[in-house]
Amino acid sequence: MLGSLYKYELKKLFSAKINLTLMIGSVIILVFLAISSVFENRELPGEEARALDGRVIDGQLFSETEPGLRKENGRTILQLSEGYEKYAPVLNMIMPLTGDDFDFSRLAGTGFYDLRSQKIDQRFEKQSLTEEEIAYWKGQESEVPKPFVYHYHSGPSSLLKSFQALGFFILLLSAAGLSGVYAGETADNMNQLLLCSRFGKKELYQIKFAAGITWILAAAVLLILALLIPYCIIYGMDGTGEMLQLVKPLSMLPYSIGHMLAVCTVIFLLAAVLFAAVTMLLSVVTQNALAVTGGLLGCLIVDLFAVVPDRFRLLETIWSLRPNAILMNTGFVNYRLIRLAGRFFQGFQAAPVIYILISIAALLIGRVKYSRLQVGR
Amino acid sequence: MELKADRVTKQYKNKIAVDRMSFTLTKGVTGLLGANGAGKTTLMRLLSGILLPTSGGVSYDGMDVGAEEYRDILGYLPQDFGCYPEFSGRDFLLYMSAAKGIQKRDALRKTEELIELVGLGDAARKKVRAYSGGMKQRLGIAQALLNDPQVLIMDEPTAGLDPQERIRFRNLIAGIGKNRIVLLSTHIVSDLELIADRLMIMKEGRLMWQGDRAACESDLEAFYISVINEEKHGV
Repeated sequence: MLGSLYKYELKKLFSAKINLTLMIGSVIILVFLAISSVFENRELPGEEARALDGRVIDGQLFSETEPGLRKENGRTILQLSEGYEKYAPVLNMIMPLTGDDFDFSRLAGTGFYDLRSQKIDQRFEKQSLTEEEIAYWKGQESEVPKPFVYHYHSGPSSLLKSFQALGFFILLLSAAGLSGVYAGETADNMNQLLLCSRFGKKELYQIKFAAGITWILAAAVLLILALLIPYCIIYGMDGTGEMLQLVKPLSMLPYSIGHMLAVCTVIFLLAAVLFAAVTMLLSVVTQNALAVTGGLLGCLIVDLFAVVPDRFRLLETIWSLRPNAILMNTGFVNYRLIRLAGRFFQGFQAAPVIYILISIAALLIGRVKYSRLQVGR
Repeated sequence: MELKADRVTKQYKNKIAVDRMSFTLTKGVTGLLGANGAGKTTLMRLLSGILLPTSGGVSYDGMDVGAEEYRDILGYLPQDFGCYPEFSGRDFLLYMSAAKGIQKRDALRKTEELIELVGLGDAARKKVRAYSGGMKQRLGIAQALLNDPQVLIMDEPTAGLDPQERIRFRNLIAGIGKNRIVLLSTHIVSDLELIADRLMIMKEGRLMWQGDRAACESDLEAFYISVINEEKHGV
């Protein structure tokens, strides 16, 4: 019986026109995003990008790159001229350290690594890290092999950089697709039938919740595939085992790109569960699907534009734990740590536990609210 | 077998929708008459356990109507309800069977049986969104009967039914009411004339009259109007 109920709750979600439209629309946009990366030269596909495979990232490589850079009013601009496209991955590494306008001579010898250390120290200072936190990071950094060696990694790095977009899409899908899970029954006058049926007051709440989580996880997997498949076809997945610093030069994590892809995938799936749990809680509490969707889309906008200054340490730490901040990869260069039971945790280590706890809390609070539902109150 | 309301009251901010109503329903069909806004729907929700009273209580054989066991023996047809438009009529009944805790095999059997009973055999596989008002109403009647309820509460069940369907429905209810508690609300007096064993008449949240159908005048409509207009018939 409960199995049938679950099956029908899934049917409601998967056959709802708005859900189908949003899901298909999101997949199309993400596929287009992946394909457009080639035309925008964000990543080099194929042989061109493999030309530098195995090259050490040092002053020698930068000096080869420099003649290919455009000059304007005597200044070097980080844009490659024709014939030098193979050096695009080198520029991708410099950009996070320098910005567009840069004195290239500073990269001679070990200049790149000195500049990187300098940037990291500046960030330590800006974020007011404690001595213990700095010692923790130095320990991590000591495990990062140097000098960096370039290997082709366009496929996995493109996917890693796309997780931010995935985070926004899954919040959108949750807000629009699950806001009516409970509220819709009230709007459709179905609550009066359900609440007076045997499983309507307790079991149905849990089954609806489980169906909502199943739907959002299915949507999350579909969104990942919408990027993974085109990236695999265009770039291949070579380079998954290469160092994270090739994508995020300011990261001090001694991990590979593949490792971080796995971390991001887990966080993305848990973020999907979190969004779904919160959406469904709001659906029970407000009994108004439109208000829930509107409220969550408002949160999405705040998420996009709000910045918490570094000086508000606690607030900034909490803010940096939100799913889209972690998925944006800023989590890999946000050096603030969370101390618990004498141990330090990085944002991406603490976030999954927090997401699970919030989701469980949402489930339990929602259950209490649902059990008190009345018709025609 | 008795459904008992004891001084049950439901008050919204400035309005008393149901005012200290006490009565006991036993086997048979009880008709609940009252004009629109008299409080019939609120009373039925209170009796179905989906709305809590402000004061007083409702119990079935001593069991509170909020209990899971009561929901197990209850069939309820609300006045307005939306079926899921993407479901077929058959799916809707199977879904409601699952919500009512009916075993899968029994649910399949009962669903087919009720589809035929309410005359939806040809439309059972069509999506509910393609149903007319009358077909939806028949689907609602079918879902209320899925669990062979001992207590059947129906709010304006004949709304949207054509004359032929009304006759079929009346016969169906007359049969069901023989060994169950059936409460049927309507503002169409003729719906009750032939099948009601007992009557309750409501006005502005109050129970104006209750008693056996036999105690009413032969012209039920004239009796109803006289009760509504003259409050001297106190309960």
